[in-house]
Amino acid sequence: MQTHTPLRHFAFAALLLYGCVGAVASEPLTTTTKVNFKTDIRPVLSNRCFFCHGPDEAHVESGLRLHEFSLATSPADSGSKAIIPGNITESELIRRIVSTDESERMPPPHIGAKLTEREIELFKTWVASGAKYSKHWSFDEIQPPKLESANRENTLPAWQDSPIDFLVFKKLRERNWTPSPEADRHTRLRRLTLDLTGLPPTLDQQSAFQSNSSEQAYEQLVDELLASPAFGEHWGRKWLDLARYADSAGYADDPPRTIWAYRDWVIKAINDGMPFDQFTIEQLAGDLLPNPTDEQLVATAFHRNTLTNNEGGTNDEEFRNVAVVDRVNTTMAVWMGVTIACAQCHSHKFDPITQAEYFQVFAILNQTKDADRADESPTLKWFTHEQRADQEETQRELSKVELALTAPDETLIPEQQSWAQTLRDPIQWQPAKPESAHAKSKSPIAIHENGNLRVDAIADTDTYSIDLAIPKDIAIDALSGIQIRSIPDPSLPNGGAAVGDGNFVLTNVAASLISVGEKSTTGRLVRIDLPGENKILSLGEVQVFSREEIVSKGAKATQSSTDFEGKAERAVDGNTSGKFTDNSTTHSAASTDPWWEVDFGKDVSIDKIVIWNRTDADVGSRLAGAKLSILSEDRKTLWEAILEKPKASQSFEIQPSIPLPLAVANADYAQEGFPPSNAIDADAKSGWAVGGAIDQPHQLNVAILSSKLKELTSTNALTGTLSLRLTLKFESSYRRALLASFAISFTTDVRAEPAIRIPSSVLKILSTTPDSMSIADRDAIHLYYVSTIAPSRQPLRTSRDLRIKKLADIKPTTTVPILSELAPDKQRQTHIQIRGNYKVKGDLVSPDVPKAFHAWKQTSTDSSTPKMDRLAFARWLMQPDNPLTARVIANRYWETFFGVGIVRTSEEFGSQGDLPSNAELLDHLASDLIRSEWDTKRFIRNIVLSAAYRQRSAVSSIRYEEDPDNVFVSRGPRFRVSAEQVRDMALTSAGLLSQRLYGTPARPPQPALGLTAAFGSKTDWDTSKGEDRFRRGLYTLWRRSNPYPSMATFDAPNREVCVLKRDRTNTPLQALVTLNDPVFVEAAQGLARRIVVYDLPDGSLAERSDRVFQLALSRSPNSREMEAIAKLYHETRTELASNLDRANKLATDPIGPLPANSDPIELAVWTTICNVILNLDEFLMTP
Amino acid sequence: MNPIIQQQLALRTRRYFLGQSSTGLGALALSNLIGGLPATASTDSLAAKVAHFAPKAKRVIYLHMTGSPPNLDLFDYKPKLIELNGQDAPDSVLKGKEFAFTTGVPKLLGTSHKFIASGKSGVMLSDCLPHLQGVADHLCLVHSMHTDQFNHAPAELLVYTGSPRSGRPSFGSWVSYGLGSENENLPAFVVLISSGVQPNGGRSSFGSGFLPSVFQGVQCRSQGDPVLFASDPAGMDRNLRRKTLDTLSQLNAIQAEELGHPETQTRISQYELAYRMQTSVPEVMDISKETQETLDNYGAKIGAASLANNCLLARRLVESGVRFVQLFDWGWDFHGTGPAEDIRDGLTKKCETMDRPVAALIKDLEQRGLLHDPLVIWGGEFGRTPFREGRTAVGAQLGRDHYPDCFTMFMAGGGAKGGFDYGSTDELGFSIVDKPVHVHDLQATWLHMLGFDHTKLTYRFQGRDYRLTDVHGNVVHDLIS
Repeated sequence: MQTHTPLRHFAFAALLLYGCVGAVASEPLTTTTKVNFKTDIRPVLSNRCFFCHGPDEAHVESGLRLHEFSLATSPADSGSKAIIPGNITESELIRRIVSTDESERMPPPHIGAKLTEREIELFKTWVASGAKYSKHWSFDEIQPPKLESANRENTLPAWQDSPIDFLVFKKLRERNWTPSPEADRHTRLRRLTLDLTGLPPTLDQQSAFQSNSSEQAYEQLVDELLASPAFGEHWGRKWLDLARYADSAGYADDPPRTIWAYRDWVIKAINDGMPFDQFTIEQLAGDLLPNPTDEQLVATAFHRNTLTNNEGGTNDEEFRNVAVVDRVNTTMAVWMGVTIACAQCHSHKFDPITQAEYFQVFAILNQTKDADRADESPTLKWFTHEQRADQEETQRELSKVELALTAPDETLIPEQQSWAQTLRDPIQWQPAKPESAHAKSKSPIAIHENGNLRVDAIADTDTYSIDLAIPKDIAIDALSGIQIRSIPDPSLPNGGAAVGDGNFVLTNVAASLISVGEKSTTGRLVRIDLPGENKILSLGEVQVFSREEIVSKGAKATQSSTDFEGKAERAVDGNTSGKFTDNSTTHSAASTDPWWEVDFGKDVSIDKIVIWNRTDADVGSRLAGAKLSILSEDRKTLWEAILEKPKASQSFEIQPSIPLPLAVANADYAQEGFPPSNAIDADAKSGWAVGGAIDQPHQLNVAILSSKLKELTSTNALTGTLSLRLTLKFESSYRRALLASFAISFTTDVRAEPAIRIPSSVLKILSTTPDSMSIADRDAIHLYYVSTIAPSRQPLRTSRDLRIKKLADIKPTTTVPILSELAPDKQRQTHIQIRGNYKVKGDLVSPDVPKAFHAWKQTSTDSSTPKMDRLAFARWLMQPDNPLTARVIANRYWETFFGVGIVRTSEEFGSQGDLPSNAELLDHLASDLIRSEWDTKRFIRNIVLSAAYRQRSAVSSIRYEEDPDNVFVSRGPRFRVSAEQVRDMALTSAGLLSQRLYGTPARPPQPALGLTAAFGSKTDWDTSKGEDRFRRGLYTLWRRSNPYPSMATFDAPNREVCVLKRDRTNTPLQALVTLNDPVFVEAAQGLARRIVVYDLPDGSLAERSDRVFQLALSRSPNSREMEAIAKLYHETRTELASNLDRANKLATDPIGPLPANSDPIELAVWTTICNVILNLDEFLMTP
Repeated sequence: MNPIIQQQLALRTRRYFLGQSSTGLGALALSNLIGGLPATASTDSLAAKVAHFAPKAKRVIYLHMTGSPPNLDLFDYKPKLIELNGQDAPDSVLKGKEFAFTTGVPKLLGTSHKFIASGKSGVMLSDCLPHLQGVADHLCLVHSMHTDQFNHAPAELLVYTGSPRSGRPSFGSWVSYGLGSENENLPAFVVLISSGVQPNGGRSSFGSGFLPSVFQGVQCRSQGDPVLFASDPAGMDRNLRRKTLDTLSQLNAIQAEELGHPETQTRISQYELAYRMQTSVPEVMDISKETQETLDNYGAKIGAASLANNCLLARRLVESGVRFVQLFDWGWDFHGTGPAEDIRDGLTKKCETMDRPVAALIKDLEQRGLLHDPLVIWGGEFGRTPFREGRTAVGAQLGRDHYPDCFTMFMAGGGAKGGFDYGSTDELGFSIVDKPVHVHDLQATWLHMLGFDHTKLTYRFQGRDYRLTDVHGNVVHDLIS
């Protein structure tokens, strides 16, 4: 291949270079050599000696430790001293490193090579000059260089203004290098726009910048871009890698996780220019700030991005512990740039961090409530700003309406009095005569002649069923209320009306009209529904009895779905076996709302249904909650029952009935927390109770909705004699809170419902004569009347109800898992975990920060007695005397702009990391960041305004060999853009990219893989519709087990752990993505349509080529490029002209039908050309 | 010399050395392996490399039975357990242990399968494995495997990355990092998945962790595009694609000339490789050229996404020079919660889909004279209990819970001793009584067979040198012929 030739030359040059560099490196030292401990000695000690002679106290050879002066100068096990300051000849260390005796030489031959001559010389000089130790460079205080004008001498004029520039220049000058010239205008525009917003400049931006002749044009552009919303999206994306943000919880099943409100918080905080110290504190400890806002709570989701393990059989505590470990490691890596992960298992080998210190930090982060739960609790309901404004506004209106509604009005007194008159006489209750009474527990219930009931209660919980005769003179639809009266009895516990301790909890009251003597319902189908997601409906047999005949056997059965060959007919095959292996039980797929039904083909009279459940493998409970119903031919429900607690077999007697619609309940008395409404609500556990007055008689009045009852009885005629069946449930969590002595009354008084609606306190006042009422009573009645009854105020009531409903209807936009500190009495104790195993506990530790770092300055704002909690920890990180965070953050920004950090190992500032290539520059940037009070936009501004950043990126082969990664910044940065940018840039060029900010994750097209996550859901997804298809890459649904394929190919991480630095590989699989992924084909088609149909309908080839270059590469093509495009144009045109079918596909698949009056061949040709342009190296790189 | 420059240059000039000097290549490759490659490595890092010492095996076919097959019903014959079937498990073996789904005192569960002394070597294999019995003399069975993890995902990650947590490079990516690829037109590390479900560890089980992503497993599929996006857009034929790539190269060359960045040259060559892969991958993935007899031997059917097809593809891939072929087959989690998970009929049926193709693969490699070359590895992520699983103890199906203390894995070819039993468990299969082999030990052994000192195949990340075996692992030399 042709391209080999230059590579060979290049390699040859490289070989020559080896010699040169080697020669320089081995030059002997002169006597005037200066030794710098930090850069010359400590790295060698760390790399070559500390593994056996360093900070890890558990692994020390020969009693020698070299990481501190006092230890290195003390006698080792042998008695000799490694270092005797000023004395080279007697220092054992020197003797050992120069020794030629393999048994003596250090480091030992099996551990590593001999130190180089230069290193030995440096050590000698160092020992001779006193063996001064100092801290590892990055742990030592920041020393910003003095920026005096003298320093700027000998600097190019353009490089004199910015400290960044003359500090870079100084380094270049040391190497006798000169910087590159300033890049041309379009390159600067493209570089800046890509770096600040992640997007290429629009045509408008291009022409505005090109035509702006002001000296400040570039500066104005910088400010404009820093203020654009796309800035926060682009820079937020980078932070999300550190935050390991994803939309799934991780591990084997990797279920979806709703946490995108955090992603939006990051974007907004960055766009708002939130100072980095505040940005830090809110994320690490927003919940501990005084009166935290919802936003500050959302920020704490930073550390809720840890994985949760929902796999069956896993131990929540184990994985909670894993999450805390991750939080410790992530915090230290992101802010301090120091890997302390290894100190989880043993003291650090290279940096002075002990295992105990690791767990002291662990202790700080070990106090949050989250605990690897599947529901991700604790979570915050998140309302948008608009929603919150709406809530507040509605609440204000509601208060206003309520004020108007409750305002006294003298003029209403007359109508109030006539209303009160109607309620003065009490409701007439008529004692009911029980005909029969049964307890579910089979406890005997005695019926006295006077109608009183007495239960000899034997169970803990129970349900009573009482049938009451309805006097012949009462129309059944005239029933308006039911009353349950407790009758205290001295012979019962504490003289109450109940067993147990004398109190009862009546959890549910239900009543129905039943047709006495009728024991069947005529229907066409019997059906079983199992509501819910991921349900399996499996039945042994369903027997439907008409008299004594089983009419279901062999009838036509169907079901929603079938798995494992468990056909629907198996439930009517006459075999009642519940063992699946007997091939006689049905089996639906695990699905939503599965059902089974049998159709008799004609109406049959049904007396009884028996359900035979599965009896094997302990799966009978699957049937819980199933609804059994009889349906008419037109599928109206005629009768139904719920299978609450499924048994092996269960029999249902069918009796026609009409449930009585209950409206409201009140009582003469209720224990606090046990109001009468509990007895008719949907909650099976809550109930009415009378604690505090158990030895008094009490009444619970329940009103029947008369209008509804009339409707029911008219459409659902019951025949024969009717009875009222009352069901009383006592199913609270209190044992034996059962009524034992009581009676039932009913009423047909039409005032029952309005009267029962009135609170008993008001009703009581109403029953007194107006003259004997106190003023307070009168006011109470008036208030009640005007606000609740007065017809003239009905509009106000409607208005109030509407607002209450509106408030209830404002549902949270999303939820977000947050950090929440355990209460002081619930705090966890933290032990050292031996070898990092959470079950093997060592010594107890208390929260603290490692001693090797800067000291914690306790401030009184943390709390009255300063204590090391998360908030104090976050503030400790941001203390101005912390030398690490500022260096780490400054370096990370530098790396983002220049492709490589000043400290190349941007993820490691400890002993094992690299030294800074320009220490003065790093310290200048770090101190600048602190001085500016962490104004990161200003910081970015300074970098992009520098001459260093504005250089041309072209490079000579010699300079490339000398500095392939541009560590010394002798040219402009040029490297591949991120995975998200590749997508965003292509869509922008095509004019397809959505501008919408924030919101639920998007699902752009991805290839269907037909796979399922282990124990989880399908990895494929339904593509988003409309605009969501074209949202920026950072909004793509991020599933950890299955990252979006095209972005993963471009080195987007799966975000299972904090990613400090992404790879920038260059692989053939990437070529396949940008050439063939339908997303990129669609972008090429969009770009083609843009220039051919929309922007330049009459454009020439040259004009269109120019425009494609402008849109994709922000510049015009040169003549050679123009020529290449023209050649491809003509060749493709010729080929496709004779093949309309292919042209059509190229122009429309997948983007969609041709625009009106367009030429498919022209569009196909331009699609082909655009496909090339969107794959250019130049397109994928910063310029 | 600046080590950064040295490494960069070593990478960027590898092709030159490849053509000029084999000693130069070896020396450089080795220095890179020991020192760790920089994160900016280009695909040149996939060029074939030389290992630390003469390898027994040159490549790997790894067959993973996701969910973990029941060792006591397939490989580890326990007559005493059969005799005590149905009795309470003794306290002594339960004490202090945790199980995923079992509490209280479970009942011992002897196998209902018949074991047969197979081959000349007489290794005992269950009647579920009639075809593997036929190749018994090639199998190197390690009965004394143990792990630290008893949940699927962490256990699987331990097997593949040496750590139970995600984030580390997988075995396959370590091997491609260490040895590179021998086929410029195919990925070095290919992953094939059958039974429709991803591995427990998700993509981390074949991910590259912190190694550059060129070393990650490339998932190939038997339906749709064999490699994602290998098909040209609708309407574009090969001829037109060629033309577009010519224009692309031409335009890129102009850019390279102007700015002088070698990365642009690399991109040109990557597009050429992509173009070749578009043909070579579908070709190697197309089993229709195999004889009917071969298809029948494997039980492969054209167009299916089965383990049988994947075994046949594995052979085709290693034949073409692919370094590491990783197969995952779902459905080996025999709890007994359904008929398919019953260790009697359910296991027999599941094994029918595995036994024939795996045996066929070993035979096929042997007949083609290739068995010395790839190391074939077969296993799950942990073992299964000698007792009946707690949740399903009263059901109709017989199942076993997860068990980390002992399990069996086997190897074939690649220098593994054939017809060989290694290590043993007690008479009920609760603990290892002889020659325990931890997952890290087996990993060290695999790397040794591939020519690597497992302590020296390292990569520097966040200031620490990482390796597949973490800080553990001892080579089990007895397993190597």
